[in-house]
Amino acid sequence: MEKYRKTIKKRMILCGILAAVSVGLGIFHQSEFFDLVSFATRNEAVAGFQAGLLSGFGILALFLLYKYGIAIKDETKIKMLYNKEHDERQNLIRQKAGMPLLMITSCIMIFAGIIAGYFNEIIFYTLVLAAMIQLTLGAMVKIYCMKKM
Amino acid sequence: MQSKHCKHDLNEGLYVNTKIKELRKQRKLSQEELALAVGTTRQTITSIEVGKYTASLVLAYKIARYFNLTIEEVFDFTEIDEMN
Repeated sequence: MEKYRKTIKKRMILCGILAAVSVGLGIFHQSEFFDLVSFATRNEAVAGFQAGLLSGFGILALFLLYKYGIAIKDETKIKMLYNKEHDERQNLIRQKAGMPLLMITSCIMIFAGIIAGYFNEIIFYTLVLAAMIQLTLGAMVKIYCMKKM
Repeated sequence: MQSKHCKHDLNEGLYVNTKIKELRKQRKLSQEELALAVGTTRQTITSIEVGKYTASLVLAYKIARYFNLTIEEVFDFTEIDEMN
């Protein structure tokens, strides 16, 4: 359990960094300085999507920071967290839903879509939509497996 | 020949009946407490009790050991024996 406690502390540091980076990038994104350094025409759809994604990451990071902060103070809670992460039934459900490969490919597609969005709006929409559909299907399979198992 | 009472779950295995619920009630133990003790979640214990999920060998051993019983005393393998 000590080893897991150290893992949680590392995750808390990463979450803190992610939250700070999200806020920093968000401010940079909204500032006039972004328009000066932009090398392509600023696409409002891509900019809006980026802003939303950054906000989402920031909120997620803060939520995880809070959750881990609570768990690390209580031995029972940290044990429950450990059990939840290493539960065989949950791992089986994740496997059947295609995790973590599905998540990785979806993230790559979204990232590629954001980059492509600076040059071609259609490619941006296509990639982001494909990633969303992929994630939705994975979630549906996960929910189905959770009900059946 | 396969017994008509045998069911197949998403584990592609067979359902195994258990006495976990009775054992828990005898010891006035909640699902949460048992889950914490054997290193799993309450949802997994629920699924095992209702027969939706079949525990792995390691989890079955942990549960049996917690109750100071053998695996065969906690899990009912009658249907599997009938199949053979």
